[in-house]
Amino acid sequence: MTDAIYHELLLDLYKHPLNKRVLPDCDARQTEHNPSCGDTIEVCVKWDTNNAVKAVAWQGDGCAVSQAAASILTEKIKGKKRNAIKKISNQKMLQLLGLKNLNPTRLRCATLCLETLKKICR
Amino acid sequence: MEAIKKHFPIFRHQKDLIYLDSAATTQTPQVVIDALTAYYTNYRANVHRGFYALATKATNAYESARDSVAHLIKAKREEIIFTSGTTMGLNSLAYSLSPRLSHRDNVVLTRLEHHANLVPWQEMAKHYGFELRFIELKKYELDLESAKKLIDANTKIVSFTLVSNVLGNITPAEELIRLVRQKAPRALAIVDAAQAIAHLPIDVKKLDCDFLVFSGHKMYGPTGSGALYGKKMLLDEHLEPFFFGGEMVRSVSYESADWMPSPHKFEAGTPNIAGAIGLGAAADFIMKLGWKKIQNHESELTAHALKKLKNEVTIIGPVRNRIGVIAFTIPGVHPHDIADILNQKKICLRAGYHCAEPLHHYLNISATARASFGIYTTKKEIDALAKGIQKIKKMFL
Repeated sequence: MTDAIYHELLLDLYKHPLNKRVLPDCDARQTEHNPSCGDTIEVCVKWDTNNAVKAVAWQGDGCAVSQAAASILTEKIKGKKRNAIKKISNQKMLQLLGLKNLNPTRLRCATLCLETLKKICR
Repeated sequence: MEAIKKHFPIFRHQKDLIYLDSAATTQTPQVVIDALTAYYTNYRANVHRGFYALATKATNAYESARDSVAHLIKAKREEIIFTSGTTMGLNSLAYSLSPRLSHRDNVVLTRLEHHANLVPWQEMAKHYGFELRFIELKKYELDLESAKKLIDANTKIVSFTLVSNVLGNITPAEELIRLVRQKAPRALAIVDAAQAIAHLPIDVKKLDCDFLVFSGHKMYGPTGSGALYGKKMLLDEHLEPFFFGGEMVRSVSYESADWMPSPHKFEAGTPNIAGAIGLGAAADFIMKLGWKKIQNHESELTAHALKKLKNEVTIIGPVRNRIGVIAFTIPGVHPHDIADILNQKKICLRAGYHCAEPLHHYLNISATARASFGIYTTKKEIDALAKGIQKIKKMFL
């Protein structure tokens, strides 16, 4: 397939998202919006006593890139500490998604969940 | 209409380009590029200033562009003010007219408006305290019953679009303006013709609007060009200049200044001379093609597209009384993904809110994809779009 962005893993995650659910009595909740396309992501986190992620969930809707990113990232940060999450770069996010050379508009889709999480970790 | 494509050099340079985003900006025909180049290479000089032959030539070209633009909308030449586009036209009107309004007054807009005909009024309402009212829609069309209820003796301005840049519908402008004259005889009627100007013949006298604005870049002209039409009496006596400086003054002392007659009092500073000349060339290009040919071709294209797409996507907009601006959604696929995948087939279309975010919320849709046509668009290109959409559905659903 020539559609480099829309590889199988990404489409699969779009159709069958991970951690997309409601997390009752979470410790932190943050919603971010990408006004250029209307992507919305809400992330909820529960911390354990070591300040690491005990549970994480997200909700929202948007394009395949933003939705797949939310699934992959929330999976990746389970058990991770605040500081480790803060250090995740945009580059790393793209690597997790298996994407390279996204144009600036799509880069915002790919990093929307990461931005949301970083606000939680501030 | 394949022959018309030959007027547009981009289609020679970008092989297999399928450009379906003419509502965002149209492509440029060679005659417009030639007009811009001729000014820069053969006779560049400032206008209305020099006494030498070159300056006279530049001034004549600039003023003759005003004739062409006036001719396009059946206005008088002194009723045409060159602007940088629709946004500048609407902001100029909002800034200039709003200080006369107070908390007792209201400005009536519609649910359809582009941000350019909404945000300036919102900002002015904050400063001057007037109320904003919005004419509702009924099955995507402006509801004139709602207009009857909203427009009253305290309505001072009614500003609305002639064609929605999302839904593609042509609004009942003449009826609405007649209604304004009955219910609020002193109100001013402003028409945003940005999306209509390249697709419908406009007669400002028949419309009876007080002001009408449009952009050059949506009618095969240069970016950063545009025009504001105003009834002569209003420009002469009602509207104050928006900008002050050189060119717009008759005489100046250290204490004060007085103005040139309109339209020059509204064109302070060195204008976008090349842009105006290019805009004039674009108006001539449209008139030379002729409205009959343009409208026949575009209505055939629109009918073909609606037929091809109606079973593949959800079309957001009316079937009749519309132009070739077609917003749609595919349940389960985000518009950004639609645009991105079509881009891989060199099909250009827009995804998102199209600078009309409140309309999307009003219609309860998150975002749309939008295909829009120009005179160079062909049925073959629409077929390619339909094929691309089928492929997307296979990938995602």
